[in-house]
Amino acid sequence: MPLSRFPAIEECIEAFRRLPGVGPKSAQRIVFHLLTKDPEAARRIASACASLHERVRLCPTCAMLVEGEAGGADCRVCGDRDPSLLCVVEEPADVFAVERAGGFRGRFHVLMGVISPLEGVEAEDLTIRQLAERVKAEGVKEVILALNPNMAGEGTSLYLARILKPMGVRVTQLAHGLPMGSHLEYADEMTLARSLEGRREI
Amino acid sequence: MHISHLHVFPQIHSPYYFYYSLILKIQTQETRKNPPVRLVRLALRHFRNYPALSLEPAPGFNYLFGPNGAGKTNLLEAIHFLTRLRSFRRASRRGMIEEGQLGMYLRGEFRREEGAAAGVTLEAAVQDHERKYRVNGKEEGDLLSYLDQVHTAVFFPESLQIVKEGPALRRAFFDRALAAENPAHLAAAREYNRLLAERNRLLKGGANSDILAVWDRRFLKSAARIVARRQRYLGSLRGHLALLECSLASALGRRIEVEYTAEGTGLSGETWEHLAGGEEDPEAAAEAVLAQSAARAAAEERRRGVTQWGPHLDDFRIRLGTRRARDAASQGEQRLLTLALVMAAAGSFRAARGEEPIILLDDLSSELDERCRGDVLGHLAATGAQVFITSTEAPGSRAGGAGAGRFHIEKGILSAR
Repeated sequence: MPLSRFPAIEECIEAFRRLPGVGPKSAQRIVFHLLTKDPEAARRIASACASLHERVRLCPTCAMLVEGEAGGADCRVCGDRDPSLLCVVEEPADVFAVERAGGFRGRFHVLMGVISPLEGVEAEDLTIRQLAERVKAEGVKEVILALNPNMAGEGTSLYLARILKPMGVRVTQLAHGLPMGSHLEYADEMTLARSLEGRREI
Repeated sequence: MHISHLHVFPQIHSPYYFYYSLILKIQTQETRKNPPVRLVRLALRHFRNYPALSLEPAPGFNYLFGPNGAGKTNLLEAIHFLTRLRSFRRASRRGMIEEGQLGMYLRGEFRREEGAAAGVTLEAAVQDHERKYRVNGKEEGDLLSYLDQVHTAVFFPESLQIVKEGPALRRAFFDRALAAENPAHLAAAREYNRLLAERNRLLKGGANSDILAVWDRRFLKSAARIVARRQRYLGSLRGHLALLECSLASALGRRIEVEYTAEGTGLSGETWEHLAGGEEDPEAAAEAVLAQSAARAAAEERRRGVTQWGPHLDDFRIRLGTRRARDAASQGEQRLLTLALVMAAAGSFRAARGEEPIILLDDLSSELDERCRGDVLGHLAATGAQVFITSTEAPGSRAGGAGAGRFHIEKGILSAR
């Protein structure tokens, strides 16, 4: 019996299939699980998803996620932190990653993507204008570029450095190098080359 | 040992030059120790005209002979596919599967030292759209790592298009040979192609000048890296061509020259090489030269919205004596010239990686007279490589030395003679 005879099920599978990391088989498994094993979960997921966008917004200043009434300079991450240090990341999830590492006491700015000409993403599609305004207004002394170490991230970093440096701030980039606990022998040549370039005296 | 990957780095001024020179020493020591890689057993299922086949080649020369259409070249193709994961003919994976079958399976046992266990078994299975490649029985997801196990060099009738046809085939030949020596070249080429596509998109879309300036710079650096690599590779290749000229001198009579010409630089090959070769850091030198062509092309590029220069347009100009091989050499000369290039690339590979690739020669006898053939085979015998040669005629009784393999093939049936 073809699945097309069950449009409700099919629609639901299709909806899950569009999520990152979910293939057609997983989507089908999830839907049948919700259908037969855990009907309560379906309602919970539905209501949590439905209110997600009402309860969570983007901070108009730093583009980080905000919950509740807070906003602007009061967004949770930037609250009362050192305004002279500004860490630029691609996605809100990256803020949590840097926070988990601890040790960073400055503020964040989320770009909401990277420049990628082939995908039609240009500077205007990101929060670069807001970033420039913040650098001027908040007394930023150093901008730390913490974009992903790939071609798109590299290009975006170079572009940001080009427009931010003339504004008189120091622009730095996270070090590229070997992951902790790894083996030199297994490092790929690109990483190793970068590590040699970025070596420092101890 | 993965050390050979570090080939990316050999710049004299660079901080890791010291490590590089160390590695170079290790490599040259290994060069002397390492005997060539050898195929000791080949098994095919449903490959072209072979429902099932098992072959145990000799360590040196192997003659595959039989009438036209018997399936001699198919065997070379099988060895090539097993090691390079593509046909040297213009054939799709599906096209190599025996007619009426759904899939094919190839297996090769390769040995590096006689009698010792140091070797590798490669398996390639293709069925419908599924492909499975195994190294020593374990599935290898990383194609680059599979491709780096065993190398082959091939010469077949259409090879001479390298000399005869347009620059695209030459770029493909030299880039492939370069990537075999130095797999990092593939990553660099991929990066370059992406930057080229991005830059063209930006030029077309009239992007803001800051973005374009950043991408111009990245493109220039990436282009310089490719050009410098190619130049350095040509340097090594020239040395091996010179060595070959000694053994092929009787047949060729004139020097083989290969020079790199960069599109849009407005420089002749020699001036270009003089400029690029004079500096200690080839990448920086290439960047300086290319920056000029970039500046010259800028206005035109803004107008036409397409990149007008770069290694994707460059050429490797091949000359025999003073004349361009493409226009002036005879068919036979072009053939010999191509063969010389293939063998020089194999020699360069050996010097860099300490291992002779397996040599596949398809239909060597046509268009090469006996003296040339003798020169070529003499050279190959001296390298100690494992060689597979197809021909319609049975080889002479003493051809290839005492241990040579002789396999007669007729209608897909193989018999050792």
